[in-house]
Amino acid sequence: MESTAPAYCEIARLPDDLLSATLARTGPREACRAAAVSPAFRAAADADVVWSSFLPRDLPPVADGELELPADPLPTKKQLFMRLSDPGSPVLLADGLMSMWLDRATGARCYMLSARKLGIAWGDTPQYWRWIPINLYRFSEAAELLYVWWLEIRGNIHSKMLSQHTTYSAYIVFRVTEERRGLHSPCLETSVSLEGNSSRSTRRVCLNDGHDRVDTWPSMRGDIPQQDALFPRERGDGWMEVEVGEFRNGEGDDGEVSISLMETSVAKRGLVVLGIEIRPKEQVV
Amino acid sequence: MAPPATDAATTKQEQQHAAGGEGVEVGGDLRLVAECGTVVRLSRSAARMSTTLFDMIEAGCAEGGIPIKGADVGTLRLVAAYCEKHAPHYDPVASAARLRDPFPPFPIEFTPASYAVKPVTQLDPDPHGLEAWDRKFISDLPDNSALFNLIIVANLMAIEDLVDLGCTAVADKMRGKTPDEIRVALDIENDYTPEQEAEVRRENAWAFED
Repeated sequence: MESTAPAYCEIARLPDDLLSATLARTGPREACRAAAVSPAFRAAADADVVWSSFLPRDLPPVADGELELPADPLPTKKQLFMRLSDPGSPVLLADGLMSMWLDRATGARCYMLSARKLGIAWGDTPQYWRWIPINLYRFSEAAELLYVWWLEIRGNIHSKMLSQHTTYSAYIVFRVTEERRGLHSPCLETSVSLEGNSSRSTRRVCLNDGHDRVDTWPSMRGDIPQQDALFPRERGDGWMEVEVGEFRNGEGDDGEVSISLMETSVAKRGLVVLGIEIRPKEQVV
Repeated sequence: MAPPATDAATTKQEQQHAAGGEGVEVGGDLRLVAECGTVVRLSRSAARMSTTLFDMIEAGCAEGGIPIKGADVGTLRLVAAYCEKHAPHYDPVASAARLRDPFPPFPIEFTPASYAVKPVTQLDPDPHGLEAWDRKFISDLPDNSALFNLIIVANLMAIEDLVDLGCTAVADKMRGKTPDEIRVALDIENDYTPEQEAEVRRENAWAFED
């Protein structure tokens, strides 16, 4: 113990509600760490008023039976936050096409738009795309590309569903099959834009890691991906992801967020699309 | 601090005024009386930042001395300085809206990639220099004790913006720290038994993964 420590804890003079108000201004990680500081801190850190401030004020309507919480005793706000922020078990929304969870570190709302929610050009034409069963993130289907030149995938989400004052990244979540073609080059042109302001974020992405077999299908453009292309990385769930753009959500009144991916100059096959994930942009340390 | 003699003289004079209502102008500055009896003046416009004082003014009982229980002179002067500085730009509606949703309290920043987002026109984020003033106000406080006193008195006087500022300052001292570092930063004694502490850490395991 340092010799400068006072005889009694100064902070003990702060009434519980003010200590909780202070903890409400830190974050979920701090509030959990603070519980290990002292018993008094634990009581203040576990208080509903703290975790209410981390939970979003309103949640979108969820599908029936999704949030099965015990009625007796009622869960604390902390338990509710932990349940909603478990990335392994997101909550399916009422439309059955999107799932939601909270980013545990920031409380920001995150979403996965299922493949069925997206606008996939030619997606309903069986020669081009087929729908395969899966069981992940509460979704039952993924879209598998059989053959197409015109690859165009679009997704939308209204900015009011997202957390305010947060910078988000959008990712395409996908797999490639053994028979993949035309996914390495040329790159897909992707963009993310907000209806309400003039910002537009663009990327060039490769949906392949470059270790594939030589493409032998006809192409109209050169074979080398551009220098600034993004390559995918593996996720913890066995799928791949690559960032297709980013945007800053202000007050949530910027209208629709529009996400698009396009590549129309070569024949492609072997892409399996799970969906588009929207989550807070990763901090560059 | 002013020499005691002057303080005593002022105190007696002001106390007489406060008690007898002699020469007190209606509509003039409020007289806040600290625990030790010293008076700290606060203009009416600044007083509106305190819901308690505002209600008293509306109810017509803000004449004479207003004792602020448990407040020492130093803290009361700081509170008054804060209110005087912020009063000209005080917007109760905007304040209430901001305080209703304090989270996330820290901006989630990003460094713009060279080819990415076109920046939206930036308005000056601190047009009246209040944020800079607030930062200095907090950093000028001598120790944690002064900060806690400030929060307690601001809470007593229902000055929401100042309570928010103070709590955020304490929150800033906790952010990113381990429990041990928090104890050092805020002079807290660890009265957990080792078993209790281990249990809490287990319960909140995710927060300790690095």
